[in-house]
Amino acid sequence: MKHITFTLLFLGASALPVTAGAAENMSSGPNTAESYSSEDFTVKPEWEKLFADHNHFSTTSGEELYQTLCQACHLSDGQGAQGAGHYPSFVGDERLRTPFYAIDVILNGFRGMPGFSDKLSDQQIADVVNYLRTSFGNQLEADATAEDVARVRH
Amino acid sequence: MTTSPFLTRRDLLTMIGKTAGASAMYSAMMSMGFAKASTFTSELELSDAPDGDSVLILGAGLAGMTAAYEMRKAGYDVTILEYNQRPGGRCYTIHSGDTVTDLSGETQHCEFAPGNYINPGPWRIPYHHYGVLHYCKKFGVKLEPFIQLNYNAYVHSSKAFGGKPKRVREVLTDVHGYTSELLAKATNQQALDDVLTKEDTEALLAQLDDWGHLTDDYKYQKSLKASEYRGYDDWPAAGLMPKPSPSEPLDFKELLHSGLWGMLLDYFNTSYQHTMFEPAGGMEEIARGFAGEVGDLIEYGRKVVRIEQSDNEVTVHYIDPERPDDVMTRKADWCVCTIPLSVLSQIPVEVSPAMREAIAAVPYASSVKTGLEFKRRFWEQDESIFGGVSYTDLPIKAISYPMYDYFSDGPAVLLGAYTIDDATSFTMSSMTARERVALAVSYGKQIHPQYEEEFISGVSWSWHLSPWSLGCYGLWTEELREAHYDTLCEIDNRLVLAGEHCSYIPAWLEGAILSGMDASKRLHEKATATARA
Repeated sequence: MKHITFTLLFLGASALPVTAGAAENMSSGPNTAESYSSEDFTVKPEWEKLFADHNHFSTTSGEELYQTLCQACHLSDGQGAQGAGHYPSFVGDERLRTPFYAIDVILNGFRGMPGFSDKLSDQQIADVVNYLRTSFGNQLEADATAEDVARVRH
Repeated sequence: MTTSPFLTRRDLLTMIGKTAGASAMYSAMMSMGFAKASTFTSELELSDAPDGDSVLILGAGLAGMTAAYEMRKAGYDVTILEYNQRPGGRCYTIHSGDTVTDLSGETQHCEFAPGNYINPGPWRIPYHHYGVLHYCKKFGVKLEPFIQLNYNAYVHSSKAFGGKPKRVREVLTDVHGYTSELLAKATNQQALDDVLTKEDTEALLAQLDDWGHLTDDYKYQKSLKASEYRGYDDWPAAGLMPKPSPSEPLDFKELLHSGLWGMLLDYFNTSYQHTMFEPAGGMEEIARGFAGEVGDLIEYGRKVVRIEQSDNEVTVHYIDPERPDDVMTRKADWCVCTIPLSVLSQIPVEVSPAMREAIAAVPYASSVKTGLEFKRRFWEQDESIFGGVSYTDLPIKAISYPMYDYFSDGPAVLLGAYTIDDATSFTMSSMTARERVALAVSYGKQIHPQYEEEFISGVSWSWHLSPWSLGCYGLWTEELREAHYDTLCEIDNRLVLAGEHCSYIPAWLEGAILSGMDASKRLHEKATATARA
């Protein structure tokens, strides 16, 4: 093998992972002064709450936690995203059938995803797992508890 | 621990190591000249590549382009496959006129005036990152001073001093003054007599007097002497203009609890000590400098989907993301893979189980930057801030002023928010770029009230939404390094990994460049040994 060789293969689409990003039609255009009102340039009360502590997430609602943490990668509709790699979708996610998979990933991280054991309490993790299990088309029981999280935390 | 005032250097290092941990000891060793900042001494002089041997490099970031440059020089047949349509990877600049789309699908058009830009990733180069400096010089990348410490910039606490920002010179001088006063007081009360001789005490008091700008009775208070350092109410002038008048130091207790003292640290860490540099025209100029050398080797729009190896060759399967059904294949004798682990951990790679585990072990950090363009340089014109960085406890964390085109009249861009690897950064990432721009203006105007009136437009970048890196940098811990680092860096059959994630200088260009060099050197050794066998 002395030279780079080049071949073209054709594979069916089924051999490839998901192709489309979740929110591909969203577009904001230029973020110019004219596109904002002066109300937009006012610190919102919810920001004061969300940013109260730089080292911990301060909200206790599962939905709010999703929107202020998980959404950073898995996006607002829970569909994940696709680039050079992908972020998994939660829509009809079989892995959510047990709360313990999600609890473990949130606590300890998985591949490129950091763990959040030092930034979230047991109750917050239970809340966000319950949110995942009851959102994005998932109709599972919201029965994860802080005690469940404590059992996995190590 | 010994109480002798005559510690040897070894005693001192042991003491620091025991009380402050390994990283403090490493810092101390650096300052005592035992350890070097970067191992770079000169570029590689590899030669005599085995006749016709080929190398496939995955990723045209700085690690990949360094490896390409060094291995082609040695005589290898080199090809680089790159996911993006440009070289550089995270060595990236958003320029006036650029359009960027992140993983959420949000598209931003950068409306900045011609010549203005924001560096969403690396933005400053320490003087001891010798590899970066070497290749910049060699490839004709013009470097200009980056101002990290500007004594006239601000440190700001929203909870102290009525939320008014304080000048760095004021806080730094007051910290020196008050700590000197307290230490002088303890010394004069004989509290340190067990460690200080009479001569030591006299020398210490004399230096505290100078260092802290103290009065004759060792008090730190409003004085012309202190104002020489912290600044005046009326600055020295001429003729019958007001005479110099001293400024009032900040209240000690309020300063102590304000958090401002701690904010000063970023000015003095070896990573940020002067002299620092930035390329004229944006960080991406470094990528362009490298591409001037190896750009002819790069194929763009290549997404790797599988990596296989045999005893004789490496086979890489890839697609053009625009035509995902056509899987293409490239074979080579050797492979340098610089794909970020956040992405590589999702790709089937034929390596040892231990290396696969290492690839999947490293989480990627969050970081967000927001650039804001204003109609005029009010920070220069109204506040005499010429470059530098202000720090704040607000969620924007920092404001960094442009360090080029000082005094110009046109619009100028500053870094209006910079978060990294904390809860704030994740929450910032979970907002749209459009919201993040509004947030940077909303909070920033608490420090610069001119913001709202002067704002023109903004651009924001979250590294977790970066399509090609899915994160900012490899977030190593000591435990993770112990378990996986050496394995990650080993050559596995015919493949070696490189990038900032294969370095002890994560997130910095220097880590990527040194890693690219180290991988090239070891792969070349293996290739030549294999050819001889």
